[in-house]
Amino acid sequence: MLRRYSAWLRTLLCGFLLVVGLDAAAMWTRLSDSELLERSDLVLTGTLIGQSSVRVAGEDLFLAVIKVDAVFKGAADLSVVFLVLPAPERPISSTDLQYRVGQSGLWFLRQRSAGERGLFLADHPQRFIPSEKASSRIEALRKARSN
Amino acid sequence: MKIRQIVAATLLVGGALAATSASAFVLGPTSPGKWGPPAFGTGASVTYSFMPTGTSCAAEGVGCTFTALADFMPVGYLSAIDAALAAWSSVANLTFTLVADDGSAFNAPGTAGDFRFGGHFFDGQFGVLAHGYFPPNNGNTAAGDMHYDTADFWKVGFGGDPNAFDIFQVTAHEIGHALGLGHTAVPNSLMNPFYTEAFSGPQADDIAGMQFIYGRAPVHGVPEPGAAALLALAGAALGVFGRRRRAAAV
Repeated sequence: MLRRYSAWLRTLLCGFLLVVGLDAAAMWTRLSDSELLERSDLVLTGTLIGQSSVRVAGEDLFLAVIKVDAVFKGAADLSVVFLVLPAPERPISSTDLQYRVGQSGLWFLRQRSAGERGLFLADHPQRFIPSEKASSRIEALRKARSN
Repeated sequence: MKIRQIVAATLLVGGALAATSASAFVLGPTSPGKWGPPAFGTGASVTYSFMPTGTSCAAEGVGCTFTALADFMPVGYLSAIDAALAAWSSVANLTFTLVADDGSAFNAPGTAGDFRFGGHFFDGQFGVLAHGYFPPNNGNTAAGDMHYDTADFWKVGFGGDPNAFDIFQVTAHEIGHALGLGHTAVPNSLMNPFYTEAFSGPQADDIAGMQFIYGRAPVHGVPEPGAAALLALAGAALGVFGRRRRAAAV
């Protein structure tokens, strides 16, 4: 009896956490797969392994480092990529998407500015798909790359 | 005893779940996360202004400058923004007042509205349309500011150009952020992060969220006549009725 109630409680708690955890952080347009691919400079699978505040060319940036597993669009020889994130001390806007160390999946990155190489943004909710939801997309990209 | 505790906990969690699904609005990340008195359910008066072209937004990125909305939005944008403000003040205890803007830099001290409207380049056409800064405490003066992507096409009203975005709909969404609401996963909700023309303005879940933060809009009822006026009216009616009865009897 006790075990049965515990199971119900666990299920309810999981459901509750799932609902509460749906918070995404602007108004965006929804992009189709082809639009997303077209509007991305670098498409890869990888894991966010660290983040830190740095000063680059007189500008204070909050950078994340993504360890690259496979590249589907862009320079194929990359082992790490730098992602510009909203700095924690900056005022908070509705476009601020935060990523955590350990997040792994499919990244559709865009270059921060045309004249600046090596700094990328993932500033749209569709620009990151966690590993557990990305398998079919990764498979499609692999097939497209091999064709 | 343990079983009873578990059942009680289950009921509590179930209640919380039911409450969440009934009102799935999400509050913004700042604290207190509202204008006016910090207590939720209390109203606020908010000022707003329009940034002139050339205002600095260097705090968002090196070399960033604003373009005034008048310089890249179509005629009628002001009415659309007024309508978006009214859409919220008609359901929650909020008043909005237009003030002058001195063009001081974004997030720097100056003389301007609590909300400041302006445009700058985000990411080219599509993608990010606009963003809004959450209410205090949030930076120096950034709280409440709303910025539109100057690379997108803007329109007044739904339909027409499918590559343009309705100023009212986007502004109402951003005002939602500037007043304290975050994004929600509820599909048919204004505070869902993706642009849609499936409905217009705040929906039930959005209204519930705004009323949670600021309370309901005050009801301005039709003024009731005084007791003396009612008595006089009743007397006159009785007099007329009595005279007619007497006339009928004769």
